[in-house]
Amino acid sequence: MMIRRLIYIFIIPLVLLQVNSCETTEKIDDFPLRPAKLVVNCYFTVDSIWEFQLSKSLSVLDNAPLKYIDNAKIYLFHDNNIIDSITQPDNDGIYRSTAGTPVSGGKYAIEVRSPDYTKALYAEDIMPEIIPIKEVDLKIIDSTFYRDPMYDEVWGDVNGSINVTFEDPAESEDYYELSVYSNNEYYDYYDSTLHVNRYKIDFTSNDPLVETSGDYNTTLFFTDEVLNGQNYKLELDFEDWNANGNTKYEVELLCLSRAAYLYRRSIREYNQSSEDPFSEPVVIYSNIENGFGIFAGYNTSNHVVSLF
Amino acid sequence: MKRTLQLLFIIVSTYAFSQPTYTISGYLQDSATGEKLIGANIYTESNLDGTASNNYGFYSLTLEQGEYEITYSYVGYQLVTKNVTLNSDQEINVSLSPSIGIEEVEITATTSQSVKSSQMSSIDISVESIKKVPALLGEVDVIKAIQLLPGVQSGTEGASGLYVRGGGPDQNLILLDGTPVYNASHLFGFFSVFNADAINNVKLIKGGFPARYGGRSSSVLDISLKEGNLKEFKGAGSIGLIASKLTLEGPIIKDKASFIISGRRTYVDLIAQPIIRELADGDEFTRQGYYFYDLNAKVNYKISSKDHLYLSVYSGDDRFYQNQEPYSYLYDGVVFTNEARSNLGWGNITSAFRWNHQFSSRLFSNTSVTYSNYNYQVKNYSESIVESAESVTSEINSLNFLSGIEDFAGKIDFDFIPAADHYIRFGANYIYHTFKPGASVYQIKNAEVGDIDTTMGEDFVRASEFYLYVEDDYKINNRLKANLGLHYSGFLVNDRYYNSLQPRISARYLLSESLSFKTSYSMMQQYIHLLTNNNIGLPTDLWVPATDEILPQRSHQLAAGFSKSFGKMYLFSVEGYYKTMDNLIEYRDGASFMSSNTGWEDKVEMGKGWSYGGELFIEKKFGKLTGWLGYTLSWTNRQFEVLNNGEIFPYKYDRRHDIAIVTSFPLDDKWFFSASWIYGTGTAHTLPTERYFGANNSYFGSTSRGFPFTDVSGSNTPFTSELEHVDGRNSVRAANYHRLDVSFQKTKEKRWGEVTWSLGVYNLYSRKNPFYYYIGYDNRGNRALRRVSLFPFIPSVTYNFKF
Repeated sequence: MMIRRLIYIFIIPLVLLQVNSCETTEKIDDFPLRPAKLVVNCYFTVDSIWEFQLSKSLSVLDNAPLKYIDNAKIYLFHDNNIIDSITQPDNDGIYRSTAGTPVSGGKYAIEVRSPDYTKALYAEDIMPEIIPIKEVDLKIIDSTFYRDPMYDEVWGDVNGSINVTFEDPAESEDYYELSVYSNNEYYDYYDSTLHVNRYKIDFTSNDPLVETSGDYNTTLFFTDEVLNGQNYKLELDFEDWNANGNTKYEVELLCLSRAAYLYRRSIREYNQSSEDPFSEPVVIYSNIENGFGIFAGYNTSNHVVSLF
Repeated sequence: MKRTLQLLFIIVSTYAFSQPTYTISGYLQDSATGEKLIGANIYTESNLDGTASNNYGFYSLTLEQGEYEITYSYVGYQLVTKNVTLNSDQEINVSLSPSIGIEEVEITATTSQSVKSSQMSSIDISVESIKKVPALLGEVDVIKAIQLLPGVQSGTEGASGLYVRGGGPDQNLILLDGTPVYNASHLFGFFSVFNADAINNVKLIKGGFPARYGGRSSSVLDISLKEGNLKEFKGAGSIGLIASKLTLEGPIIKDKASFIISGRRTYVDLIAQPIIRELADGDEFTRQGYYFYDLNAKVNYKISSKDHLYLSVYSGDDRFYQNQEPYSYLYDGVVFTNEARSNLGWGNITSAFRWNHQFSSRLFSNTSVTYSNYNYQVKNYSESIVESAESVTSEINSLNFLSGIEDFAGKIDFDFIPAADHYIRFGANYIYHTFKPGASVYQIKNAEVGDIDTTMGEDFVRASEFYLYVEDDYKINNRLKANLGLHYSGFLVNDRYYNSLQPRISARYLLSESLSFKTSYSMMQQYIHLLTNNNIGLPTDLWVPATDEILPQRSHQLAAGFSKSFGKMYLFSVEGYYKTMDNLIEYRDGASFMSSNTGWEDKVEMGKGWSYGGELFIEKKFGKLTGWLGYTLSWTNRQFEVLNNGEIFPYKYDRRHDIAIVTSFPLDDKWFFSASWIYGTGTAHTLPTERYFGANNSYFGSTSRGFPFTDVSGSNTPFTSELEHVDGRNSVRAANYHRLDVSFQKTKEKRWGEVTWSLGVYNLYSRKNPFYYYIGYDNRGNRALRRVSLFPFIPSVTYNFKF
């Protein structure tokens, strides 16, 4: 709200200035009107099915809607050996492979060809090794709960800290993404079923790994530059406004490939900057040659602790 | 060190073994006002290369014993020639009278001084020239006139930023009577803070920096205020479309002490009030508007022929306000009362206390104590009261955001002129900085919920900066003259000490009486950065110090060129330069000043830049037709490891070609015409070029079960979203910029003084120059590149008066 007020204060004088301004449609002679390119989106992880979404890009000035591609052929490689070629998409441009599932440490590549495009799309990435969470230590600093008399359930808010311990391998460059989920199991009397309310919780941290100390985060991106080879304990402070008697906190530590890390960080910046007219534009990372999108691997380690 | 000692030895031995010499010294002033004449020429008939008066009108000329005819000249003044028998040191103070015509020898001296000076990449621009340049809305603007010179970019349409030889707006040392000014803009940069009626002299240095200047990497804009008429009470003023000015000056004690006070205020808020109210559907409770003002005041006191005191103060402010007066309404038996006030303001206060002391005919000093404060503040206050039959509750919300910079400084400068071939300057400066990088105080008062009082943001940072310098303007022989200097500076912040020894060299070689070759090398280091939004000069631009993470900026500049006078009236110069800049900062992708919770160091990246090009300048200062032509061909690039994938990208204000033609001439006895035409190739913008479906960050990892785009409820819905691809920073060129401004002035003598009507047009052919671009839609609903232009054809009329 504070930021919106600040934005509002700036908008007023700029609107005053706009009284004498005018807008026209521009034709810049060398404004790049680029031809369409292939776009592929694929995250792969251990034991996941290979799935690729293929579509095509358009010039920013093209009025046509974005479309999926259904006539492409995807060649999938593992350690430079072709393991599958996929031609038949499902709806919405999803191509699936039956060639097995990715394995940790594997090097994978794709080549995508389509008769409508002269240049093939190419991308490669590795599947990072899993880095397990060794320990999660939950401490409650403050909490306030009330009992809902109608449904005999306990709800409230919790102020606490979660300490996450993991060991970074010294021999590799590692990229991480960390989130904490709250899973609240509750009984819905309307449809008489048990539901799980799952959401990310906000946390702050004074740890040097956290770039924006003092800011609330729901996702933490960091590398092993500072903690390479260490048994590291990351301390996070959180508030959960919607806890109940069945709440479980799930810490998810993703080990990302470098491409996944750069891409996901740039997407987060892109989303955040879209709300701020004064922010610097974001160049979204891509590891795709002759196209856009992302082809990247990740691995997941989870650890669950109960609130009670 | 060895070279320095050798140089000192040469200087001393030259002085020790020459013929007996004596010194003529004194002050040059305007006979009508007593105003000191800066940069006036003093020379012997046999040798036009004499000396010039310094910033305080002091001169010193050392010659061998003998008979001389000494000439004193200054543009716009009658020559004075004195026969001097030089067999002892003599004090000769000279008053020059304004003249109508210009004498040939004066023209020769002025053009000759430009050719023969060892200083290159420097332009002295007279206030009269500035006043002739057609101005936006009739507001004479020093900065806007400077922007018409080669090597200087203005940034966006109408802005008062200075981008000199590829440098950023924070790399300009803007001095007002020796005091740094940190934000020289009113109204987002559309007008500068400098009132031309209060100014005596303006000098811009773009390269070949003398050692006495430091602390900024790209330019020095040295502005001297008038001292005030020592002879009689005078006034001048103007009434324009959006602002009015009044300047009063006069003696406090005739020929001994004087004052000048000059103020300006806009009345946009008064004019716009009815329009704003109309736009707000006749809302009687809301008042909103904008105004700015600036005030210059100066007092000077001549204690004796050797001592002179000055006290000058500048205060200026911009304020946007929106006030909603208390209003009440009844709903369902409950009375609601609301009140709100919002205020956005920024401003500068500077003050300087100076003491000139003449130790001897060859040694002069200036000691200054200065204060400079720039602050920017946002205040937001709201109160709501709810009255029902049962209770009365109230809630007050207030938010105060403050940022800025404050300096206390002291310095001493010496001018030592031991011989005709040496003009030595040395001195020291100390500045105590307080940086206020931005803090928010948020308060809520609510009896039911409880009070909140939170301060967020960054603590003040205090730093000390100092420098020492020595320079010698040394005439080595009849053809070769050089300015050799050393500037040593240091900066202490948070127990971290930075320092730098900066060589400064400039030299000229006379190829003939009217042609010289000049070259220079400067190293500059600055310990402060400006976090600035590249799109518009916002008051939120933040001055921050070098830290452990963010190093001081540094530049190296090499320049070379020729200076020639043609037919006495024309001055021609052509220069090439190459400049490198290190430790520049830019906001990283997605960063913005709006996220005040985040430390500023987390929002920026450090990188480097370089700029190179050539400048052509042809100037005619004398005759009926006066003006100049400036042309710049330049390239300016940046490279940051983390930005733009580490690849080189053009600076936003990289303009390949930049042309300015400024001219003025009298039509007859009463009418005067001036015009300026500006052309520049397009600046660089960051715009998306393509769009595509991209995987977003939602529902990732363990929330997806095999299908990467499944949401948490398990439905098979792809979760990509439309993303826009940006090729790279500043990868799209805007349309070329050009406009023509004209102005007619009619002057009429009155019994009580003089009246001048100025009729002007900004952007005569209403070129829709680009202000910014975005991807939007045309009037048929098709996607289109939209250009927003700011200032079309804008007429202005100003009433000027003098008494």
